[in-house]
Amino acid sequence: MSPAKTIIEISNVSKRFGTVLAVDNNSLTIQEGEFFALLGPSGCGKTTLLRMLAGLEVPTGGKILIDGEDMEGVPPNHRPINMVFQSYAVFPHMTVFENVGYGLKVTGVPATIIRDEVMAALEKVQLDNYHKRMPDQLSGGQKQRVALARALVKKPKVLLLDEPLSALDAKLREAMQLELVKLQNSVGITFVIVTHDQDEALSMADRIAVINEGKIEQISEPRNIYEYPSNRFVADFIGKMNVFDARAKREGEHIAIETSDAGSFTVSGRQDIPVDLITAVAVRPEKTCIVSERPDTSMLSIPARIANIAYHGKETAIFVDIGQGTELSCTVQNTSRTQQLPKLGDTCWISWNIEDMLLLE
Amino acid sequence: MRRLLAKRTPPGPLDYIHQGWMKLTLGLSFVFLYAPLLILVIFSFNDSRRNIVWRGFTTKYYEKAWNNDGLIEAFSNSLTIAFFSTLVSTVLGAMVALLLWRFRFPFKGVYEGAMTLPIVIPEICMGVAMMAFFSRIGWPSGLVWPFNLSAITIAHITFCFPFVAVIVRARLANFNLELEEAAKDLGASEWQFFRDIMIPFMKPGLIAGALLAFTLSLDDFVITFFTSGPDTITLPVKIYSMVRFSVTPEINAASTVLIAITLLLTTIALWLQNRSGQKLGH
Repeated sequence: MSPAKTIIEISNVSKRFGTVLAVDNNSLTIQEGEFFALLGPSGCGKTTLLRMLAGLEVPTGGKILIDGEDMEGVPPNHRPINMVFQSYAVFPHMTVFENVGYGLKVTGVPATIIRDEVMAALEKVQLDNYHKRMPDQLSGGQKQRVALARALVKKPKVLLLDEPLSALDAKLREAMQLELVKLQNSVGITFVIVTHDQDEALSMADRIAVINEGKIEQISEPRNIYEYPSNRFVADFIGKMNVFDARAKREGEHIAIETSDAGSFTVSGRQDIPVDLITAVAVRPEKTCIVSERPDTSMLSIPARIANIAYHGKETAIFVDIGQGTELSCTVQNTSRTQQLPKLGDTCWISWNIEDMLLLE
Repeated sequence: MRRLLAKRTPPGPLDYIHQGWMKLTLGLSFVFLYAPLLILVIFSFNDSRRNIVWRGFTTKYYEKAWNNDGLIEAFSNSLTIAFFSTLVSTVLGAMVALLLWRFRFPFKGVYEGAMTLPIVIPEICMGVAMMAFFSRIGWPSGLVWPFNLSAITIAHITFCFPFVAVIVRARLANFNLELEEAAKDLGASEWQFFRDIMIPFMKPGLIAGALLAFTLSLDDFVITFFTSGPDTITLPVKIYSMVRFSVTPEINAASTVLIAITLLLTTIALWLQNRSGQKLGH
């Protein structure tokens, strides 16, 4: 593969609506051909960031470069970018064909070329037999494909997708996730997707930026985001997490951790967080296990009592009480039909590998 | 005993139509509303000089009305005025609707209220005001056709365009703003967006508003009466002046034509509005 080329460069971009700072001084680069996700809770500013890329909002400060060109003062209709809107925004009075061809028609592409391009785009989204339909004869998923084809036919340098799957039902959403990734691989266009659904971001994106209250908290590959969240917000927002307040001290090669609930222990020194910034440690529920006897000393174990059991089909969430009202959770994969589960009120040990423990700011 | 108990259960909302008193109310209100109109229409076919006793069916009064030059001139005046005031009202009303929908400006609420004032102001006041206004500014009268109709046309525009504005404004309230962003994102300029997306979207509202404006203008008597001169008689004013001598079947015939046109256009307007509403509901 050729060395990656930067297609989008966002530097120190802010956006203020009245007194609200929606996007707070963010910088970010996106490589050509990347599937990039902006992930965060609703109202975190991710959509505003996307809209600034499209030119639908004007940044209050900072610079946006697309393919090396400064986008300041460039209106949406002159940007090498297209967008799939959350409501799909399919033009209701035009047929599927006219919808997809609209972007070419307004820029004066000859009708014969429009015909070929539109049919090719519709084929890509498997709607080639629907070109004569009106939008009100289409399902939600089909409308979304129209919106996709309409944007792709313009051959943009970047395709922006604003919560593209949020209006679809669960089954269709999963299918569309795979399809979007396949589509992106086949067209080779950079995709930037906004989502509040972590599953979506984790399963589709090459890289994710986790955003909270207008600030980018972490940018990394999905696996890194999940396994090594850089702070408490990311740890809490992505997946489930058992978090303990803690204090840390450097002891030669190791870091000594003292927690209020999980006792004291030492971990081998991780260099990425300064020791004096550590305020919490955490462990994911699926990395813990529940055993009746205290395991060997390499595991960290806490005596506990089963407080609640929630059966989810493919997995079971077990909540244990470790005293002082603190509850921890542990998820167990139901790998066998006859799997033995603990009973409510049983005393047990909840334990995990110290290596799976996260140190958080 | 069982019958008695069954009668005790209160009627559901849809059962009311089966109740005797309900039928009576419905029937009476229909008679009250439509009997005069119906009689007017029936007697336009009455083969009698006077309008009192039925003497057999004829269409000769329609013929007579058709051959009455004064009546035809009034009718063509009415149509001309309705045409021009509809044209201007529709454009003006659509522009006002767009302005109110799209922009924020100081005193917008006041402006919106003032815009719909001609709908609620008593017609007689509007008529007197128009007459006073035109004579005060010395609006030229006695011009050649169709310019002699300009004063009436302007007066009609003032009370027609608020209706268009209200109808188009209601339609715009359902506009998905992402459609505009999508069009711009796809490369459309402001004008291309307006022509390709906005106007087709407003179309049902524009047509409904235009038809309503047309019927309002065609039917108007009070305001027209105050702004018309001796050579600018419209159909309603002409009918009024004919009635002052005697009510002949000829007048019935002319009125029936007016009713038919009004009914037809109003039905189309309502149907269009309904249809666009249903489309949005999907």
